[in-house]
Amino acid sequence: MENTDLTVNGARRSVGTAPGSTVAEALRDGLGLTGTKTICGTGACGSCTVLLDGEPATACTTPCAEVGGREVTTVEGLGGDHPVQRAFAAHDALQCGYCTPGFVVAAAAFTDRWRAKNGDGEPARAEIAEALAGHVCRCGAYEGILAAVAAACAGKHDAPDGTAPARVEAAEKTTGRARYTTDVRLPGQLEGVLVRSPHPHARVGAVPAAHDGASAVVDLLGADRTARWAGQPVAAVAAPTRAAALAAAAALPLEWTPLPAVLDADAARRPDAPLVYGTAEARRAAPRSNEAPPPPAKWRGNVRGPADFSWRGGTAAKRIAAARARGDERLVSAVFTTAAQSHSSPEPHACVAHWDGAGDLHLHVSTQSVAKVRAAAAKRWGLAPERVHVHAEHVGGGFGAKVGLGVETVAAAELARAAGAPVRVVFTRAEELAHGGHRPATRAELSLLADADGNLAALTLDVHGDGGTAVGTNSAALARYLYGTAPRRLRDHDVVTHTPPGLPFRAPGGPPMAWALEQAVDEAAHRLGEDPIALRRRWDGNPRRAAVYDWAAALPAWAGRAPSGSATGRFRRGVGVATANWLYLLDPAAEVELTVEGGVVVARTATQDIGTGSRSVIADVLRAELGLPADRVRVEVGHSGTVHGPASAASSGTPSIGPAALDAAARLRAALPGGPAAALDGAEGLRVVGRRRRDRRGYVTPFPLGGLAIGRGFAGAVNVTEVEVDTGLGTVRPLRIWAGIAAGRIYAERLARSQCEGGIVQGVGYALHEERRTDPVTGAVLTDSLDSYRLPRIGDIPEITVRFHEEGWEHVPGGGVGLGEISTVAVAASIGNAVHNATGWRPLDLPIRPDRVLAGLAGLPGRAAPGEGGA
Amino acid sequence: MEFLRPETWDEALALKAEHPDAVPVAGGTDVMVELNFDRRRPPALLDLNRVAEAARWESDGAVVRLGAAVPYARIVSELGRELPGLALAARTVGSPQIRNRGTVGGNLGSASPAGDAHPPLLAAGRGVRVEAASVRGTRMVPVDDFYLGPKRSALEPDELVRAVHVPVAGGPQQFSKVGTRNAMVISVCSFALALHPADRTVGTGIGSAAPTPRRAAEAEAFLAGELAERGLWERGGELDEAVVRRFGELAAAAASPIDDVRGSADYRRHALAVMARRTLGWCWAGYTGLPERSAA
Repeated sequence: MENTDLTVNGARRSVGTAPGSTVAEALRDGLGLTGTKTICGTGACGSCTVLLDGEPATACTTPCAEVGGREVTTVEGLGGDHPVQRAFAAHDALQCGYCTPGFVVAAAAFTDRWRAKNGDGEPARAEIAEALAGHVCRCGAYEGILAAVAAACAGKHDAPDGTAPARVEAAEKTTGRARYTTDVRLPGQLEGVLVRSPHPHARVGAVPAAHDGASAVVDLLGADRTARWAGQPVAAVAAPTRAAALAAAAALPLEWTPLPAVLDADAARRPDAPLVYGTAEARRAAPRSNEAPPPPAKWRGNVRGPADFSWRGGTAAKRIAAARARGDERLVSAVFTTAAQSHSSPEPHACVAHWDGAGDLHLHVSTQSVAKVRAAAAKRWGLAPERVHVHAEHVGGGFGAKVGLGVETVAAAELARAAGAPVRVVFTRAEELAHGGHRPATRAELSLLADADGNLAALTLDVHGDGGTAVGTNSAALARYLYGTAPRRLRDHDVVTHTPPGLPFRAPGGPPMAWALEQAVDEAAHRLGEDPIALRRRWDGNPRRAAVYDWAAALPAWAGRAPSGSATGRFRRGVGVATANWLYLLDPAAEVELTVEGGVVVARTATQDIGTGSRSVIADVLRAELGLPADRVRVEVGHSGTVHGPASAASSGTPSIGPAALDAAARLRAALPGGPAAALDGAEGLRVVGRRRRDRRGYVTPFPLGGLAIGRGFAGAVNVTEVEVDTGLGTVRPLRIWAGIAAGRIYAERLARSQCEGGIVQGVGYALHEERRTDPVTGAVLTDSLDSYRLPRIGDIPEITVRFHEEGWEHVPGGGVGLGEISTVAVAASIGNAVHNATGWRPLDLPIRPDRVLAGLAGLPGRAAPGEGGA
Repeated sequence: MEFLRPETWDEALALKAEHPDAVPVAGGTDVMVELNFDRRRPPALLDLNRVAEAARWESDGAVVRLGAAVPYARIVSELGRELPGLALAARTVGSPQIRNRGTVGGNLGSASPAGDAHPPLLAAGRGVRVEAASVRGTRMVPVDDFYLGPKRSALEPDELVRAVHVPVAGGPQQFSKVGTRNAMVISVCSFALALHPADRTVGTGIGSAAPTPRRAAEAEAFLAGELAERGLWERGGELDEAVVRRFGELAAAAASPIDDVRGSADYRRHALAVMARRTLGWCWAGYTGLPERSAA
């Protein structure tokens, strides 16, 4: 260690650092200035941005020893009153908040410089995007960020405006005060690292109980002793420093017996392919890429399926075979593929575990479900649930990859017990991208037949999911719920390989289903000579979407679109539409507890806020129902030890806690006859518990599965997207996206809008940029950095318009359902249809890469290869 | 690991001679990434930030001597007139944060084929020299001889890139780069073009499409020959479409790209042809003052 003298936020500080360490490490570990986050460690994400002598720089690539004598300004150094910080809160330019400090620091520097040069005014969208090009917001709060920076430059936030921000914790997140799991430092805390398999398939010898330099060593594999993917955690090591833990892990003597492996779906299907799961027991223990329990299906070698969701499947198959035999033009058949998409939550999987003197387990964990972690931990370690204390004060995103008891938590708790000290385990960005979860790749064979009257006559859809060692493909099943009751044969299959397991990812199975079905419906409209929105409106059985179709059809961009393939020239514009449908799920056991404390109504529930705004939903309900000002309501989530709260998953959070908060408010009103505002001061200690009242007509499921009930009705969305295709370079640029969302009453309007915008941003990434790649020889994930795995950035995002249609959910207490998933399902399909409208070529494979566009355009009949003719 | 902090070039060169394994670092945008990921653990880092001269540039009107540690942001704001090709490329480097820290010296030192500075240096003319300094003396390495292989350069273990000497532009220069998204693009491939009316030559540079940055020599000779043969250097006038197309083909043919996670070899060749045609259209419009024709 050596001491470096720094000037940080105007004060001289001395910090002990290891040689070669970075400014980011010195700030976070040495000085406890944890507002500076390190998401990528490569200068590619901007989350660690600080000002060096007033200029933005990435602290993760700046050597600490270099900055002695220079002025370092962190997010904490901005105070909380910079106009940009106020603007971020006012425009809700954030969700989970983990990337927010970096954005705020860079935006503050940009705004100050821009105003000094130009005076007050609004910079162009492109100028703001260029200034913030070095940042990534995985939640996709870019529209809010653009609006916030423009407003700050225009001088609209130079003074506080006196209103409470839409997101109740906004100030904590814009100042860097919000504490995430990665920011937790407990006294005597050790650093834990995972030992991962270098082989895609291997027998693994016993893990030694101790090793030189390690404070603890634990086994993570159990009796099975088989590693089934390169990168699978097999053991964990703790040491006083991360460097020491890494060194001990690298030197840990482990006996590996490499076994034959299958690394892609084609190889896995061969009759002589090595089996990923050799026994029924191993198959039952396979991880899942879907939240629902997988439906029964048979295994043949490495293929599981079909899981059959057909409705008059034989009739559907017969009609399609007959149509094919007679060469029916109204038969649309194609094979669609989608690439695997990594979750890449801003905050990686992280846990700090600690066993106290009484034997209670304390877990600080980045999770989407405090309740599930507590229940699973209690079961695993044989504790009464109340002896497991779970904390997730702020959570930097999840998107489906952080629902259960993760390996980071198991490793941290086991190491902490073995070492007798708190242990922290945090994934690196490379681990997060390679092993932290992904939406499986899929291959969908689809045939769709329209009859002579232009009605849907039959549909067949076979989907093969490639989720590594995971099972749970459900895309075909989701095609059951759209476009009426025409016969359909729907079959899902899993092909398992020796590659990392997929996990549920925002609307599991939905985007691949829409990519296939919504393009086929578009093609059918094309063949029938009918407007694609009119056709969908006719076929769609969901009455809630009718008004949304009318709105979409009236958009000038839609009304003015040219016939598909009629555009000429190098840059060709097109407009596409796609429909989404999503299940309505809820946690019927959700509760919200209210206590009057010091004249303030304090709401508690064991849920968490991963950026979806659960705090704000509860706060808004209570303020409105009780007629209280913002400072008389406080919401505390992210801790066990109170009433049951839902997981932030399956779009079930808001329709669970919203009604429970309404019920709690009603009970508190009843207990305070004089009216809450007047009576609070005399009601110290008053406590009521609100329950999630049952929907009128109950639920589809007789009892909850995994804590979730399926409610009646489907959320709906219609996406209209305008793109521009560069036929010279093959790039596709989305220009504008409209989303009409039918999910009933909106609880917190600005936050709901932001969440839908984020779903659209992730859909744009899925459509155009994101492609998780695995080495075909070693099974190692190649896209393990934010340079090689391309997340959409602020300059990649079109102008987004979200329109809510709020009727139709009167049977649900509170009148509204979740938004997180419905907003992302059809985005890629609408882009595919827009590309077809622009060019006459239909992309079948995701992502729509430039090379694929060029190959597709070159293959169009009667056209020269675009760009080659100097067109 | 040691962190060496020389105050002058003499000290820096002495330290490099003593510690040939020391890795020079200015902005840290490459070196620190490798450290963060334990890809490389050099015994020492040699910080050039205190060597004031490294962050300076000067021009005698004919040649710019660009210090190794001048960040890209300053090339954009200060050298757009003298070195327009390099300044255009510098604008496309990473993000504002990276441009504030990253340097041409770093690009040369790491010799990554994806470095954005290489193509405009190659295109800027045969007079471009890398000033490679050591306690043994200073060598002026022609830029064509500098790149030896992926991440390998002509630098000796005891040498440091002290500066790069680039002729002041005597004609239009352009740079084009493609990536698979709009924002913060790492080069899938890139192309730089410079017209040199004084000696009636053409300069090109190709990035990310071969084991090293390289020029498209046949394309240069072809275009210079066509311009001379048709008298276009003197009288201007429109470029024949066949010339533009052939130039694009030759530029693409000069590459030897690979398939990787950023793009396929075929796509890189195609994109190079498109970029060569586009940059030629822009350069020619700049040279003749005629409006640019559609040159896609």
